[in-house]
Parts: sequence; structure tokens; C-alpha cells
Amino acid sequence: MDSIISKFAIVLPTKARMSLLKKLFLYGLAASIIFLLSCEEESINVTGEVIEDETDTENEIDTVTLIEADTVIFGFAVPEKYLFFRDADGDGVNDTTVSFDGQTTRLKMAVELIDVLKDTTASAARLTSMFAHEEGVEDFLDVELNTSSKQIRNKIGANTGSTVDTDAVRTDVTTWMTSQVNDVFPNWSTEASSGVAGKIQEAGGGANRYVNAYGLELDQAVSKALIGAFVADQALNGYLTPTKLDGGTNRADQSSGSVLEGKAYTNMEHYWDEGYGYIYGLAEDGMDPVTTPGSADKFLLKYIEKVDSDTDFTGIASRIFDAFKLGRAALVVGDYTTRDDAAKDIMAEISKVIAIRAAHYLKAGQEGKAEATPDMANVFHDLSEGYGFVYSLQFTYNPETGAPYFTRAEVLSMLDKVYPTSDDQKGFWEVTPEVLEAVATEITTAFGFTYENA
Amino acid sequence: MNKKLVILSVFAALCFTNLMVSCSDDENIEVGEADQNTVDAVDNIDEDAVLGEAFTRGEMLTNWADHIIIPAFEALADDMDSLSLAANTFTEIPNQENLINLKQSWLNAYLAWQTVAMFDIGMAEEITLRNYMNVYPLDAEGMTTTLLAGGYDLTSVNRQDEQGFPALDYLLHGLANSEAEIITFYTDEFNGPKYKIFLTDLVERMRSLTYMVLIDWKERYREEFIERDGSGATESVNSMVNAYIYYFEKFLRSGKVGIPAGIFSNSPLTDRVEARYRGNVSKELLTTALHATQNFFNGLHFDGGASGMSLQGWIDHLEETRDTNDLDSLINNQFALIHAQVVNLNDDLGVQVTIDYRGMLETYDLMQENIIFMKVDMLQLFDIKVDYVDADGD
Repeated sequence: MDSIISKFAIVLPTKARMSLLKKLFLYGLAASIIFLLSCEEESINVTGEVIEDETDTENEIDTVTLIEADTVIFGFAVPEKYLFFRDADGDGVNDTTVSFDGQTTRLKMAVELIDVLKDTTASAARLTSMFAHEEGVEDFLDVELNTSSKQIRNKIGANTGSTVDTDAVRTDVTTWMTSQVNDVFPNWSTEASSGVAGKIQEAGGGANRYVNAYGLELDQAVSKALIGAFVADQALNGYLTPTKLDGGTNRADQSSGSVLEGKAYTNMEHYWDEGYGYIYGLAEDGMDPVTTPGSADKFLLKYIEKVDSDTDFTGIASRIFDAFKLGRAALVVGDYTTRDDAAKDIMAEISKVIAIRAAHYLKAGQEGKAEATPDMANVFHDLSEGYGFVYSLQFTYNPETGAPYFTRAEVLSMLDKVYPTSDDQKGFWEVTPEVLEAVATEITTAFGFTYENA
Repeated sequence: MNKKLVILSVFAALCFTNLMVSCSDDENIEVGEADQNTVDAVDNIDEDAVLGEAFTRGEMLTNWADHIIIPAFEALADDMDSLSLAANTFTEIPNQENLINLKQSWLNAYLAWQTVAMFDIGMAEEITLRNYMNVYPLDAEGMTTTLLAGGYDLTSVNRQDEQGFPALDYLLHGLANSEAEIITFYTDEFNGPKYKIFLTDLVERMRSLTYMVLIDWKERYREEFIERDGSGATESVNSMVNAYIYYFEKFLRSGKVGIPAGIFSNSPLTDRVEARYRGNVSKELLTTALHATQNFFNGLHFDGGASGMSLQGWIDHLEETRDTNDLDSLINNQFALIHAQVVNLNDDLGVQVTIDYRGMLETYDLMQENIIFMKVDMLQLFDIKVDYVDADGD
């Protein structure tokens, strides 16, 4: 007998609602609808489930059951924090099944790499070595990273397009790093001008910015490109896809609860957590990153928080985190429809964060350029961040089309517009406010928000 | 679908509706009222005919330009002339008497600067006058390198923290501990001429920038400023009010008080006070700036003799037709509270943050309250949108 299982994970305010809740019966109308009515601090999670017998022509309901979080009979509860357990070794004590140490390690490596991109004593060889770290090589200040077998390079652009594209992405990042050493470091105290690399100070005694001959801060290009090529690509195009999650015998292992040897988690659970770890691996509280904001992160999480603090987009941080929890909880009980729907929500929202920041920085550059006396260092900084975010758009994923919102070719075309270097053009020194607004609008339109809101 | 289910569904739907309603009821009352005020303000403002008799933007703009802004720039220009004269006298004969005169001229001009700093509009905005006159903290090391190297370009954005009043502060008070020692920098056989030339170059640049702005006001911008008397975002009133509040927030509150008090750092920063090398005048600079902003609010003429149409008068006018609070009095009372607090501070705010930074925090908090009155309540009443955002910070 085929059954349709529909679930409502509902968060309702506790105060004065308990008696109401107990009378509340739920009828399944859609597959997975999440009502979030969190207008009071205290809340409980309630999971209701309806099993409907499709063979019944009267379409009557066999079972209507309300389940409170602590008395789950059918379906699953979604925890408030990213905490999942099983007693894997049978000692009667629950073991955590969540692990993403590998992602935290890689993110730490990337943070150090970004720092060294502004250390004029660093050689190209040193940067390349940090980028493609080999176990035991003393690339990092954090000695624990040196003993790790993990590296950044082999995770860059690994899941997007062809192997040619993957190779091109790794070449892009390597080229920026090498150019930073060869073209910008030697001019660290030169005053930058159009066609001349060097330093340029923000107006009013502001920060010094170190740019190439075209006004691009190469360290920012690397740092912001990694948000897409490294973090988003690994999570959206890798770990959270059904192809990855359902690989090998993962579904059978999940049903039987077969954990990896010596671990408390199944392969599928771990894949999901690895996707999670790329976002939250450096969070102040990795299990509760929205309630406890702040992190050592310089990549995606930092910008999820920034976008969330913009009143036009408030709530996006919670939506991403809640979808991670929901998908993980669904996966544990083998509800793969809910898992994949949650993954699609994550993909759409994270792609949107990248788009919002890309448009935001292009707009900031447009406004800066339109000033009577443009603060060029400030404009360059905005546009350099924008450059990396635009680059990152090729690693987004649109669940409705099954493709990135912008292809690599489209992204490169947009970058040629905002950073024109052909025919002796001088990149950010020459780009006009009109072009910046046009490209930003192209992005906002594709994602369904406005230039004003960016 | 059976009957029982229909009832359940409807019941569930009602429950959700109820929850949502109670949610928004609890949280949105203030927003609702705010929206109502905005609507009222729009109605009042757009009907120029109604306002025509008692208030016009043109009258306020004329008062600002003719009785406050232009006279303030004229006073600064006069002080710049005196400063230039004193600098030339000192570089010709670097002795103690001439140094003391030069220091006094510097202080007079610095105090005059406080009365124009908020007028970042027109030519001042276009050339970013503020960025060449008063960026502090000074990059003393960079400035010294520039000075000794010669061949510098003071128009470069890289030199903005190496010139203006803070650079003169260092050159007149910070080179050494005693006046006699300071004078030796200018009498030195090798580097003395470089110090003299740099000092003169700085003063002449400040003087010429001041005149550039003053002449533009008199010969061109005054007319445009007054003609642009509409209610749009790029019209004069909106631009000036935004410049005024931005100045109050960023340069008065944060620059002169908040940053030295350590609000934006882990601990107080004594080296971030204005005129740090002179030391004992930072409170006077703050007080002068505060008076200037309050006088502007009230439309008091620069010569102090009379007053004309102002933000205070506009509030007063708008409040005649409604029963809102006495916002202009709230703002003036808050200015009085700030003054009463500042009076108790040490003449040297750098000393103040060292001995009792909380006194500075309290000053900051009082200023912050006035920013709320002006930036939120006043702008809502005027239906003016804030046209600036806080910087990203990275």
C-alpha cells in the first residue's frame, strides 16, 4: 500500500498556546510546509503527520495524529540546535553523529591563505604550497593545520561544469595569487595610478588599499572567489546533491543504521554535515549559529550574517540554518523528499546571498564613481569584493533549472564589463557608473530582487 | 473529503490566523503610528500654498546662506589670512614670540573651522574640503617622510592625513617638548628650510581651499542653493539637513567624543582626540562645534544678533497643526544637557579619557539621544530620508 506522508514542522509560541495546540489537528495539504511564527522567545517544536491511503477512493483519512516533540511516534522532530545523536556503540549513552572537522580545517587554511596574501615577504611558491597543502609541510602558523592531509586546491571548483572548467578555476585563483606577489608586492609603497600598481589610500585618512595596475585588489578577488568556488561549490554542488548523498549503498546503510567504522554517523549523515561544515565550520557556536552570531569566518557565513542584517533580507540566516536542520532530521528517518526540498531551499538562499553581495558591491562602486570627487580607494575596494562575488556566481545553483544562475561564460562576460582590460582599458579606473549599474541590475533581475535593495 | 476533516481544517486555519494576527498586533503598533505621521507630514509639506504664509523652504535656505554659512566661511577666511601672515612672519624669523603668535592664529582658525565643518555641500562637498582640512589622527610619520622628501602632491588622497589643522598642530606643538626645541626644527641648517616650506605650503593650501569654497558660495552656489527649494531628495533642504545630521553623528559624536572614549575599540584612545599635540584645547573645539550646530538648528545668525527661519521654526510650524510633542524644545533641551555635561570635562579630552573615560561615554550617550530626536523624529516630521549608510567596516 502506497502512502503519502506529509509533515508539518511547526514552531509555535508556547505562552497561552499549549491548550490550543493539544486540540490542534493538522491536515496534510502540501508536502513540506514550515510555518515559522516565532514572535515570542519561547517555542516548542511539534511535528504532526498524516498518513493518507491513496487507494481509498473516498480519500478518507486512516490516521490523524498529533505528536508533540517528546512523544514522537511517526515522522520526526526537528531540533532547535544542530544536534543529532545515536547510541552507536550500544553502551546506552547517546553519541553525537555530527562531525565536520575537515571543513573547519580547510576554512582555517583558507583564512591563513588570505592573510598571507597581504604579507609582502611571502613568495609565490609559499602561497602555492599553502593552497595545495601536503600533509606534514609547514605551510601554516597553526601547526595543527600542517599535520592535516586536507588542502584547499583540490576542493576548488570541483563540482561545476567540466574538468576543463575546474582546471580553469584553479588556474584563475593561482594566477591572482602569483600576480599579487609579482606585480603588487614590489609596488607596495608606490602610489597607484591608472595603469600602475601600488597603494592608494581611502579618503579622509582611511585604509590603504593595494591594487594591481587595473585597480583590482587581488587578495579580495581570491578571498571572495573562494566563497563560490570553494564554500558554495562544495556544499551546493557537492555534498547536498542527491547524487552525492545517495551514492553507493548510502540509502541501504541509512535504513539499517550502518555507521562508518569507528564513527557514530552513517555516510549520508556525514555528507550532509560536511556540506553544513563549509558554511558553519568557523561559527562561534557551530550548533547554534543564528542565535549566537559571530565567527572567525571570512567566507560565506560572514556574508550570510551581513545580508541578514539588511532589513530587506532579514530572516535569510534563519531560513538557511532551519533548512539544514530540517533536511538533516528528515534524512535520519529516510524522508528523502523532505531532505531534498530542504537542500533546494539551502541552494536557492545561499545562491541569493552571493548575488545580493555581488550586486551590493557593484552598486557601492557605482555610487562612489558617481561622486564629484570619487574616493577611488574606496571604490576599488568595493569593486574588488564585487569582482570576487560576481566570479562566485558561476558556483550558484538554481533548483528550478538545475543549473547555476549564471554560467562561467556569462560570469566572465560580466567581469569583462566591470573590469575591462582589453584594448588598453584600465579596468576599475575606467569602468563607468552606468556599466556597473547595468551589470548589477542583470544580477538582481535574475534573482528577483531590486537594485535599490542591493 | 469527510465532514470531520473539513471542520478540522477550518479550525486549524482559524488558529493560524489568530496566531498571526496576535503576532502583528503585538509588534507593529509603533510602526503603524510612525506610518501615520509620515503620511501627515507628506500632506503638510506638499501643500506649499498652505505653508506659503508661515514657512517656505526658500526663506530658510536664504537665512542659512546669507546669515549663517557665508558669514561663517568669511570668518574662517579672515582667520586664514591671519594664519598665513603669522606663518610667514614665523618662517622669516623663527623665534618664540612669532611661534606663540602663530599658535594663537592656528587656534583661532581651528575654532572658526568648527563653525563651517557641518556645511559639506556645494563646492566644499565637491572638493571634499573636510578631508584636506581636518583629518585626524595625523599620520605624523608619513607627513615627516613627505616633508623631508619634498616634491609632494598635497592634492593626493594619500596625503589627506598628512595636512590641515592636525598637521599644523604637530608642526607647532608636537615636534618637541619645548618651544625652544621646536624652533630648532625650523632653524636647522639642513632640514629647517624643508620645515618652513612645508608649513607655508600647508597654510597656503588651507587658505586657498577656504577661499575657493567662499567665492563659489558668493558668486555661484548661493543662487543655486536657494533656487533648489523643492522637497525632493536632491534639493537643497534635504541635502543640507542630511549633511548636518551626518556631521553631528560622525564627526561631532564619534570623531570628537566616541572614538577617543573607546566606544569603537577595546579601550580609550587618547591619541585620537582633536588637537592632541596642543592638548588643552580639544574641549574648546568640541564646545565651539556644539554651539555651531545648535545655532544652525535655531537659525541664529552667525553674528549672533538675530535669527531667521530654521529647522526649529519648521518643526514649530508643523507642530502647530497637530498634537505631537514639543520636538524643537526636546532637541534644545538635549543640547543644554550636552553642554552641561561637557562643561565638566577636562580641557584636554585626552586627559579626560585617561582619568575618567566614563565622563566621555556619558557625553556620547547624550549626543546619541539628540541624534535620535533629529535623525528619527525630526526627519520623519520633515519627510526627509536619510541619504547615507554606515560603512561596511572591512
